[in-house]
Amino acid sequence: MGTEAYLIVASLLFLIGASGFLLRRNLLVMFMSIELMLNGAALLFVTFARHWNRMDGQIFVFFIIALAAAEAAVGLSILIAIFRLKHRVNADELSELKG
Amino acid sequence: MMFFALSKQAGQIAVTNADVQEKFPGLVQEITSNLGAFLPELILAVGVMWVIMADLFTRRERSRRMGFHAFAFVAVALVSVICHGFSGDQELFRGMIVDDGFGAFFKVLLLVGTLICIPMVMMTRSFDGRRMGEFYGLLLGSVLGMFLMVTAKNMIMFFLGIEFASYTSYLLTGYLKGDRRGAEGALKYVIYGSVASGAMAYGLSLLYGLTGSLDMADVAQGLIVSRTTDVTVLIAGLLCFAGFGYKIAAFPMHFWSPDVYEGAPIPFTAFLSVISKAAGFAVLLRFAEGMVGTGNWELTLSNGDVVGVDWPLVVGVISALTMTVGNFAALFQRNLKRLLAYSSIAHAGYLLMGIAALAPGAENAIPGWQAILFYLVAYLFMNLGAFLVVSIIAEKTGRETLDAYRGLGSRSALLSVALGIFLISLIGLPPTGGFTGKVQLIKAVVDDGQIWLALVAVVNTVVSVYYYARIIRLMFLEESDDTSKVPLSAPVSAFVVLMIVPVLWLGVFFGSTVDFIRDLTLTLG
Repeated sequence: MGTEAYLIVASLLFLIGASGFLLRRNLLVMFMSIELMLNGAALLFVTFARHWNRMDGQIFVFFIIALAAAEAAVGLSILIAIFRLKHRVNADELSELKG
Repeated sequence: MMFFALSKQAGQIAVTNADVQEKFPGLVQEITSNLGAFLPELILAVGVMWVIMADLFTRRERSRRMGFHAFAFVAVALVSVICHGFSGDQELFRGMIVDDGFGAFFKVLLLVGTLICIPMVMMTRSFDGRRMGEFYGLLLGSVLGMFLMVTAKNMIMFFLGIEFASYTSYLLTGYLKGDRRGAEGALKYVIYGSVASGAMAYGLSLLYGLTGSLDMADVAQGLIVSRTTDVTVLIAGLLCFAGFGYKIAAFPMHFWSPDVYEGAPIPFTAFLSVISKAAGFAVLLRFAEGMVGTGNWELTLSNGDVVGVDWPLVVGVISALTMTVGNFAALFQRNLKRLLAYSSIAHAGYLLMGIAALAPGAENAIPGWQAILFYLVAYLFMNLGAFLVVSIIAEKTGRETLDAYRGLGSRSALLSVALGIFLISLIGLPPTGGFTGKVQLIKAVVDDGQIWLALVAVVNTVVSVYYYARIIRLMFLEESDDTSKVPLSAPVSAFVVLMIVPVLWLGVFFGSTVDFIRDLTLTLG
């Protein structure tokens, strides 16, 4: 299989993530969509690393995975803090700050 | 059989070890020899651990004293940056980060800003009774992340720096856990921030695919070779800009900032609006300068055709939209924190003008990046000064709305005059640093031939007079029911005066700063 097939899968992953982020209103699903976007980027890095026969793209992916984990930890802790205050996890109900 | 396999494996590992040992001393020596230039970052890293650990051995009611510890670490880091000097011109850690005057300038800017923010945090009463070690630990961590951002040369380092600075910012925004507005601001920040970093990672991977390298200079060089795929270059560039644009709060990645600024504790809002933005501009500048240096920024043929993506036009349009959106939204705000958030979006638009004019054609023109650096110095003092007054008023009256400023002129002469000066500087009127800075930015775009952008900036400045001057009018021309004086302690008054001095200094004696910025070295990204 050539590089193109991987490019298509990576683009699809990214687009599914981006559209999920835009269309869904449940905050947990929005976080999952962001993870999909990051996975699309990671797959693209691996593909190009293989294509150019270089290692640095693979190393970037390790950092993306680590950062995605850190992001989930930070994001979920903030989500729990807001769930304790409002008992809701819906993006449309975050409306105290407006203007 | 099993044993054999194991011993064979062990033998292989031994061979690799010998291989490593051969190359290892050189590598270790290289890393240790680079550590000297990395000293400010090391001091901050020790500071992060120190304030968190020392806080564990401190009683809760004394926890606010951690502010002094954090202040001391930042001050020592500042001294070490200045002692290291601004003339460095070398790559560190095998091209991961660079040590140059441009980076040192931004480090000083970030540290001075943090030195102003820490006393503001210590003055804020809503932090009373909370453990503050973590707050300062995260704050110093955020500054450390921004240090890596402003000196990054490799895209891995640069992505890690941005994310490091962002994650700590998310947590600091929601630091007051029971505060509903703070929690909501933090959640919006983390969601928009994550999606921006996801888009940026995708953009970076496209750039990597186009050029086959993660080094910024190679990327800039490689883009010329792959000029045939202009649409991909444009998409990759715009996706990367989503990441930068969210850090500097530029259109269309600006919508998080009013909510986050309103929800965050005031001292941290000040930190975000100035220090985080300055770091974002540093990476954007280094990235764009790399493209200018290799002629990939703006390549015009002799017959006037532009080859490739016309980046100055793209950035110019984003700049015009950013300042217009910021200024018009600010017109209708009643909460001063939110008003300053929109004003800071508008200022990101003004600063982006410098990036649109990065490669001036005319002789003796001010290069855009120098105008940006000067404006950032002025912006640091005027915006932090405005937030300082807002924070003092919020502490004394408990309100952030414009009503709290009615008749302030007769209640506290110092605070009202100070806020007046900061606002005049934010408008961009003489004799303040905001005026000299804005003149340089406008001159840069005019020299570059983008007259339309200069006109948009002037019209926007006129619009912004309306909302800034309304606050000045409220303070001096209207009467308040409450005529009691606002009591100010001597250190706080001195702090306010200390913020006024540089704003006026940059407006009158700007020559030395301009010369200083002109002599900075910029190792091309």
